[in-house]
Amino acid sequence: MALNVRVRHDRQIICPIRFQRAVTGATVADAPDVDDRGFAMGARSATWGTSTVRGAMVSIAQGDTARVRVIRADIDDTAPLFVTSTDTAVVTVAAPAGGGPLPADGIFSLHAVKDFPNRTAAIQVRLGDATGPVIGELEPHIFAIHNLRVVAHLVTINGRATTRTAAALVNTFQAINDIWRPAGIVFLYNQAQTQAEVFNGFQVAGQMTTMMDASIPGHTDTAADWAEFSQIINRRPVANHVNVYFVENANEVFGLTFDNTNARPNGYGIVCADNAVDNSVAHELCHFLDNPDHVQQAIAPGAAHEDIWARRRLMWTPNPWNASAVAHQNDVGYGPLTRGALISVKDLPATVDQTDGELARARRRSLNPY
Amino acid sequence: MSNGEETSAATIARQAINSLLRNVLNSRVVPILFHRSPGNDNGGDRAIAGLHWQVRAQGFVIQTGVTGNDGRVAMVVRGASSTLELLHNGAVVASYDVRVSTATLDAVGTLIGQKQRLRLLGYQIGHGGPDGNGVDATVNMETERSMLDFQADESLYDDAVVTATMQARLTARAGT
Repeated sequence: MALNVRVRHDRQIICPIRFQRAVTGATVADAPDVDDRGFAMGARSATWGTSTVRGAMVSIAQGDTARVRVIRADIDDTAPLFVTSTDTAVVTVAAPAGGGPLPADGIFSLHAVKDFPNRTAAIQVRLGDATGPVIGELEPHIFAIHNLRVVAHLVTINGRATTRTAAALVNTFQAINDIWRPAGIVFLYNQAQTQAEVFNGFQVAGQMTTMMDASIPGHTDTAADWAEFSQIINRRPVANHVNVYFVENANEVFGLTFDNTNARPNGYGIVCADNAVDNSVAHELCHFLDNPDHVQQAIAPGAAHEDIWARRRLMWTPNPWNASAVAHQNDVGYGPLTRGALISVKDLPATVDQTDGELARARRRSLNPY
Repeated sequence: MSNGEETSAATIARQAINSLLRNVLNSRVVPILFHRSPGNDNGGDRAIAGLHWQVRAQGFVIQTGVTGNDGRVAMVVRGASSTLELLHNGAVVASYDVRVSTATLDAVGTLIGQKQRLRLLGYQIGHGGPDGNGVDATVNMETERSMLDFQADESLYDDAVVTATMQARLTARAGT
């Protein structure tokens, strides 16, 4: 069936395809989100080399296989499409065999062979066969795994304990790793190391009380506003580990984080309440890895990010969100009112976005995480 | 104002022998540019070269060719529409029903005018609307994504809000 083109003015440009996450709904380990924010590529980390690709980026851990979907935005559904790699020492096309033709759902698989500094590859979609004209390109980034050790602390406040258990946290960190693994970052959680912490004399039983918002009674705009947080994150931190403290409740947040630029005695660490879903714990870990900002807090004159891209990112907050008046914004691919898990690969100019490039910052911090 | 190549029209008149009657056939040549990414720079290194194509009108193939380094097809649209077909090993693998409008673009301050310009530049706004090319008065996921794409590509703040600056940039890239 022919696609309709109506030429107005003096010309018509046709871009046949784009790329998208292979699945919808919850995060799946082998289907990373695709950073398709614009066709410009933005700034690049020092070891990322150069690329002539203009299109989407995707990150994959070295040795992994990941699925990506081709969207036939402006080409027939039946057009035979093939996928090839420009450098098979970096990345290969694992499926379909021979690179195509792609199945009706447009999904293909990439195998991340090796993370080379300053050596880039492009995934090219071709029309007709594996030597046909290139009609679209994707830039994959392959990342060697950095393992980060994590210790969980199960906190009791004034006699009320978190409902989480050491055993249940195994699944939590598995879900977190589903989000983080494509960035080449894996959190190693050993439930046998889990510690129990008891606090008394806090304001509310079971609750970490903070007064960071100026509307909270008792707010002083000083460190006293997060005194209970500071007490918690300084309780028996295990050296050379990321310390995550789980509490039953927190009055202002799902989670709160100081990264390791905050030296002790003020300290660094993460506190998560029981209503923080796995995605929210992964979000706090992103804060810990040198990403202090939230997407929507990047303010251009008079504007906050409330768009579909912002809601798809792990560093959007809150999660879940209140329904938007713009209906299509209420499901950005992860389910109704549910934040996505995109860790931005692109680092677009600050005039576009002041907080993206999260993956590169996290990778740098993961070299010196504790 | 236009911002690049102009469409051109040709009127072919055929006068029958010993008759005062004339048959008039209207043809128009329009540039279609295939790119791997949107934007009005005549393709550059993102143009899709090597596409084998043919144009079919009223049941007959009237043009054939292969795109060069600019990804351009100077397509003849005969009558109301012609069909641009992409070929692989001589078989048709994709086709586009191409019509031409001589109307000017709607005002850039209107949603229709904005979507016309995004579509012209190759941004992927879907296939809704009366012409099946995505140009209508609806803001949906594809509309918002295309606006964000344009903003990111133009180094504008990417919030999908169409500011005066974005309107000016759309006009600069796609025409008034």
